[in-house]
Amino acid sequence: MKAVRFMDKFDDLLNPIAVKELRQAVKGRVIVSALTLFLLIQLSILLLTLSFGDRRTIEPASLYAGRGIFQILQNILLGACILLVPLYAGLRLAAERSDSNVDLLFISTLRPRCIIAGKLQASVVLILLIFSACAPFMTFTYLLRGLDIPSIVLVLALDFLVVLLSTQGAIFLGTVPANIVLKLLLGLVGFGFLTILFSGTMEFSQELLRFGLGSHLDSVEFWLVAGAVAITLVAVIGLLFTWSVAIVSPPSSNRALPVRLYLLSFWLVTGGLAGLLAYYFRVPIPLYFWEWANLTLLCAQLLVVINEREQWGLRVRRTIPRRGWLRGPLFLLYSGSAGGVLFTVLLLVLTLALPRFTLEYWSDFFFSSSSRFLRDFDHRNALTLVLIALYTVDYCMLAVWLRNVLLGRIQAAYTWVLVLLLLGLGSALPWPLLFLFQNEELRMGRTNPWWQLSNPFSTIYTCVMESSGDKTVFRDMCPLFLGVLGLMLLLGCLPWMARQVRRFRPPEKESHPTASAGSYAPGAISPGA
Amino acid sequence: MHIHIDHLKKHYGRTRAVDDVSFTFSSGEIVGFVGPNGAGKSTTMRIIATLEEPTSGDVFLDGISVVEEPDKAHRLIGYVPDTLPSHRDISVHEYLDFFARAYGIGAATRKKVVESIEEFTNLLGIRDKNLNALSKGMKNRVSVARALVHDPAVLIMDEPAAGLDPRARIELRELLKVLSGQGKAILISSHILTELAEICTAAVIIERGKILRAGSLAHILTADLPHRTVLIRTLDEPELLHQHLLLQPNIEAARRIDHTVEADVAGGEEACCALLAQLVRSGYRVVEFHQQRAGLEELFMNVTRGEVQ
Repeated sequence: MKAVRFMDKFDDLLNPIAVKELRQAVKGRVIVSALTLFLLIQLSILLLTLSFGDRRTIEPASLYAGRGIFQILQNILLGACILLVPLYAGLRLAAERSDSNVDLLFISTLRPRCIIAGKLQASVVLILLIFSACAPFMTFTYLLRGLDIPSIVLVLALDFLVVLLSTQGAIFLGTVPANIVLKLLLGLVGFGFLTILFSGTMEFSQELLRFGLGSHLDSVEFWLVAGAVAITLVAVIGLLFTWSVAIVSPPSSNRALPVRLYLLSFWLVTGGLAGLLAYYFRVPIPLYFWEWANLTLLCAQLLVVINEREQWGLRVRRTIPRRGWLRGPLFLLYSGSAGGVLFTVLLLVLTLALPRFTLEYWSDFFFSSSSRFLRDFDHRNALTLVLIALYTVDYCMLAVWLRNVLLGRIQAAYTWVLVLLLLGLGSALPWPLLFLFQNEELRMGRTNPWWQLSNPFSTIYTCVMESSGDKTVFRDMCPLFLGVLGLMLLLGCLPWMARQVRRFRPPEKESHPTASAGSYAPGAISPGA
Repeated sequence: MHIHIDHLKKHYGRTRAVDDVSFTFSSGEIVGFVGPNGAGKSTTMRIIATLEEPTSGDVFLDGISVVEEPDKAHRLIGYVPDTLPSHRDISVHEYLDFFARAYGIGAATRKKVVESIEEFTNLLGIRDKNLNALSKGMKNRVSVARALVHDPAVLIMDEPAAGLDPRARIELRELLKVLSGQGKAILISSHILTELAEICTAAVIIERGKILRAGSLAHILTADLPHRTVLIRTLDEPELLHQHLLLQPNIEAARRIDHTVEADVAGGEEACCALLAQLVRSGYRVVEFHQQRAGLEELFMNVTRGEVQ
């Protein structure tokens, strides 16, 4: 009896979506066939390699036989996992993402977070299933030479995280509401990412195996780097998870709040980690990684937030606090385009400013006198980052300004299209103009760089790669000009922002009918006004 | 359970999908929600089901606001959308079990709940069949069963009879009657008005987001009519009665149909009563005198213009 009660309690703890997904996976032929095929391929390749493989590396007497076979098995494992599980999870979600199916989930007591977590949990079980099928073969490689147990465990842990990341990425792409063309496009993009992730992980793990991890387990440096890699991977998985939850949340909910809170935490945690690593190793490289990763995220975020709503529904408005001092910071975190723009621009400025300040203030600590190359790289890196950020802000704010001032009929949700059109126009237009007005210079390759100012690709290349005398003025003035332009556009959008700030208020208190009102006699159907 | 739709508005840009809709209904009632395509029926139903947020106004389920407290409202509402379930590789039983889990029904009671719903909706025979292998009628029953799994007090059904064969429609009708008898408040939209008229206790007619008529079926079918049509049969010569009726001041028209006469009486039910008294006083041996009610279809055609926004 106790056992039944325990099982019932355990059953209640299970995520309903995970249970459904696993039931479907067991019933469906895809997983069972793929798993059988995977085992057969693994066994065949192992036997074939041992029988006919390159004697120098595979022969059991060789010093590297274990490593060679392990890499072959890892190729199969990672290939199968990175292709099969993400594709299965992503395609299934995309297929189920018809309105009615999701609606039915919304009106149950399931939360959007629970839906995505269920999908991920089911995928984790499938990944573990495939990994467990691989484990006996992997263990076998230890009996050969050239491999230690910590290397096997750590490489497998890395593989697991990478597969989890790719699965969450596929789930994220599967949640995007899109027509069949866009879905195919997203599928192609996803497949491209999976291929890059697969080859990158294979390269990295081969290096790790060659390096041999067993002898480095007692060094702090090793654990710092391993911890940073693991935390970054988990943080990216979390970010993709939060985005997926936001996409499947009802449009009437405050979708942006968890995303922005997570982004802020991501920014802080990864920033702290990068600072710690930079301090420990006395090199600025972790900070560069942090800057690039966060700048990419924030630029993408800016392109998304300009499409957000400009007024709030009743459900969200009722959660807006009445206290003014609390409303201010929450305006930046709540769904809404103006708050989103301010939040993102603020983080962008901090992302660019904090590492610059750190590296300038402690320049002797980070740049030893002999590292002139690193100083030069630092300068170019900073310039590239500033230009990318400024161009993103300028084009996004120009689109918002144009939409509000000139093209009032364009829906807010399509502002990103306007940004892409402007970017295309800005990048292409200088060429015919140069052809008409600076034909000779164009042929000689000595055009005035100011003509290309609207073209971010050309301008960034000129500023960062070319350092001839006449380009120096342009390199110094260009960020200033773009910065002033961005500021003016932000000022131009000030009325638009002010309108949203004014609207960001809780509704006036209303009196609602209650159960005890007793004024609704059965059959008292009456038309409205 | 009282459901109060309170000045509901939903605007998409300049389009007013729902424009100040208010009505109230209660447990045990089946309310037909009627209107041409694009009238705002589905939007109103989706708002009641918490799937959409109104531009203004609210819906109260025994005082619980669907805008303010959607989580509480979810437990009170069963929603049957106009599309049927389409999950792959899942049986009817597993599908219902999944939704029972989704509504937080504990393992200790879930099995019994799902089985009783299967029995009630006559799904026991097909519980192990895959959802995708089911016919439309069966899927429809599964859809209703899913909506009932958490025993909601209110059922919102968006065109549940669309595409069903006559047998499935009759089964659905019987099911709704039983559910209404159990005290559930049901709001149902359909384009098959004759069937609605048979099961509904009340109706709401909507067009271009505005309510045109609303009330109990008996009321809206007779209210606002310019005349009443009565069917009269006497033991006397029908032609004599026909001629007599044509001479009466409040008779707009009279037609002979075999041994009976059909007359359009100007005014309300008082006028009909007066006509009967007058016929009896005039010596006619009246054996049948009854008022013919306009059908829901006729009323719908009279009050709607077929306009869309």
